[in-house]
Amino acid sequence: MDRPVAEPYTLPATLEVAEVAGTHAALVARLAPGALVIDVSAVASIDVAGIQLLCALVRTASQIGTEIVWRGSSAALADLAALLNLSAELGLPTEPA
Amino acid sequence: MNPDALQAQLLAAFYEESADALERLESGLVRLDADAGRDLIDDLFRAIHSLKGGAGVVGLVELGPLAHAIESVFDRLRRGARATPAMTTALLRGVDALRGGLAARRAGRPDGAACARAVTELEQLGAAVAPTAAPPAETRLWAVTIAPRPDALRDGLDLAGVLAQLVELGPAMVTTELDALPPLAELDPARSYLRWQVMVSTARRREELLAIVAWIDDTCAVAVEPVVAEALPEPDAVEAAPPAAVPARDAGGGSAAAAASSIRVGIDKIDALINMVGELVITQSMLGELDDDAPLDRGRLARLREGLGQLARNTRALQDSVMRLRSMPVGTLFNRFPRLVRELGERLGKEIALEISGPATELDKAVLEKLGDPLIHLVRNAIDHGIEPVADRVAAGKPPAGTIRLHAEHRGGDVIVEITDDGRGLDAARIVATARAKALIAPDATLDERAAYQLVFLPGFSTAREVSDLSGRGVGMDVVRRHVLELGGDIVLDSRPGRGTRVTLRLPLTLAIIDGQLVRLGDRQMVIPLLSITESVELDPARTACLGGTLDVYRLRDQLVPMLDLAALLELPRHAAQRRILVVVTVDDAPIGLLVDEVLAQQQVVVKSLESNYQRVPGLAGATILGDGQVAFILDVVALVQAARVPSLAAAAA
Repeated sequence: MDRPVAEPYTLPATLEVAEVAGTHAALVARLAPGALVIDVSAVASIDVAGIQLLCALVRTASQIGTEIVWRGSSAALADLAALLNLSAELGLPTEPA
Repeated sequence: MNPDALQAQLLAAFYEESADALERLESGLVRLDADAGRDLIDDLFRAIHSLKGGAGVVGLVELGPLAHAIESVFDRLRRGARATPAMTTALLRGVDALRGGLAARRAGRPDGAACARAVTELEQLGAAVAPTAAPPAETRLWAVTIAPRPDALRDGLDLAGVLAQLVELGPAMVTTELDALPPLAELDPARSYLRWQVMVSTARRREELLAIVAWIDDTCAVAVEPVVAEALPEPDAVEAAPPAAVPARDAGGGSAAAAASSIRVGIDKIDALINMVGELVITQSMLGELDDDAPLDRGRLARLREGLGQLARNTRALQDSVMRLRSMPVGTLFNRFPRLVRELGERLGKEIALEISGPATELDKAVLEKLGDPLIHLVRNAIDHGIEPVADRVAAGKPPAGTIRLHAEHRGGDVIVEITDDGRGLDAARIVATARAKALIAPDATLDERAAYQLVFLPGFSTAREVSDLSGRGVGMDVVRRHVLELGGDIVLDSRPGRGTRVTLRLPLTLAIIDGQLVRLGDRQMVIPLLSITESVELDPARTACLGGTLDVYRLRDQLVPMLDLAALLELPRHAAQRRILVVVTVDDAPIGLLVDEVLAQQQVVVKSLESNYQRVPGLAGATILGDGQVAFILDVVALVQAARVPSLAAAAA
């Protein structure tokens, strides 16, 4: 397994509609072929806009051949992904704790 | 790829995965009563969890609530609830309903009715486990679709809260539709692109559902519709069927035909194949270098020979690899049996343990598929007729629980499958009496025990005192035997009164290609399957003798071997005495010598069925086309020897 070389990108504590634009810009800037490590451990609140952004990221990444590597865990993200049945789509670990 | 084709591909992949998951669930559930360990429950949870997720991804919405209900039960178990037999039975039925739902969907007529029923049953179970839960009312499946307006997110839509409320109403599945999502760079992060569908199985009324979604209906297009039409006819027959009836696997339906069109292949097999093709390409380029106008001198000829030799090796290896692609572990078949044994045991009030060994033994997929029914029949027989009721077992000094053993192994080039029980065994005297009464054998025929046991394979034979609904109406063992013979196999029954019965199936690894020994009989060439041959010796007339005036034998070292004149047996014109060869084969563990005129080359032959091209000919397993275009028959050694009725040497010597 190739180790991702890029620096991990850390998602902010709040990933909601009001603040999501900055994260969007940062992700667009970092998305390049290879691997992108994303640290989710800081995420404390996330809404539909936030998870929609992550879905777009994962879809686009798979189209250009980028591997998204999730690092850390966030209960808020895991819960919302589970509710919306998006854990598999996002490639989050599906095994409930 | 167009969306339809992609969806079809996703569906096909999901059907395969779901088959695996259902099998895992089923075999795990059967173990649940005995071993409700954390590992098993976790494994079951994972299986249903990924099935639920997969169903959502491919849009099989009617399965969601049921998958969720099953998952919930496992979740309770994970949190310490105790597994009960009733729970296991309800879960097994839930798994059946899932399988049925999948089959209905594959057949193009999605049907949520059975799934909804199973959900209700599981919910009642939940109510029994947790008495505080609301009493079950009539449960219906609802589809709630939510399509937010593009600017809905900006208005602070609490969609997650609404969805959470809906999901809490009962077993539910949420599907998020992502199709409208643009590439990341083009995304307007505050705009809403997603749509949702929630399938929820609940006894709540439509108004109550509407009240929940009322919070968001100013920013979203919302619809609440019942999924299963109330007027959907529910076949009474299904309801009336005994609940524990072992479902006959849909062997004949269209789904089986569709399933037969694909096979899961391990990556190692594919890699071996790719390696082989690589070598083939190297050989070809090596031969290609010789392809110019230079004269064919000694050196070039040597290289050409070498290349051809390599080509032959490659071809053979490639053939092996390709054949191996078709082989599957027999465990995929054995895995059906824990449940069958459990349910039949329950119905008959017998305690039965099932032991499985050799599940990794591989055999051809075609053989494996056709083996299912005979094996089920044999196991049912063992449970129904073989294993005694607990009281009888205890009285006979046996452990109260009977044991059925399924075993597979490679022996020589064959696959051996054995079904052994430690039941009451067969009563040879009763079998002979029955066969006489039914005029299946001559009134004065005398048979040893082993021969008597084989009578049960005769058409119309059944000694069961009471015909049960499980097995035995006189059809059965003969059908089993015919199936096994059609597979090019052989079936032998052995029994010890009071100790048990063992049925041994000998099956070919593959149906398509065999290693053959070419022999000459007069001016004809015949193929003897190499596997059955132990040795070939030149006939020394001084070592032949005739026992009892009927049986020709040959003294091979210290052993007397019965001899069969193949030419006479096959009614071929007899040629003038020539130097003859004795080909020694093993049939039923005993050596038999076959007289031939000459032993020729050994080669792999592709078996062409006589049945499909002409008709079944006793004693011939098929035909093949030789390198020079001649047709040669392939001998069915076992059938030939049986037809010749060679008495066992012990009997002849006595």
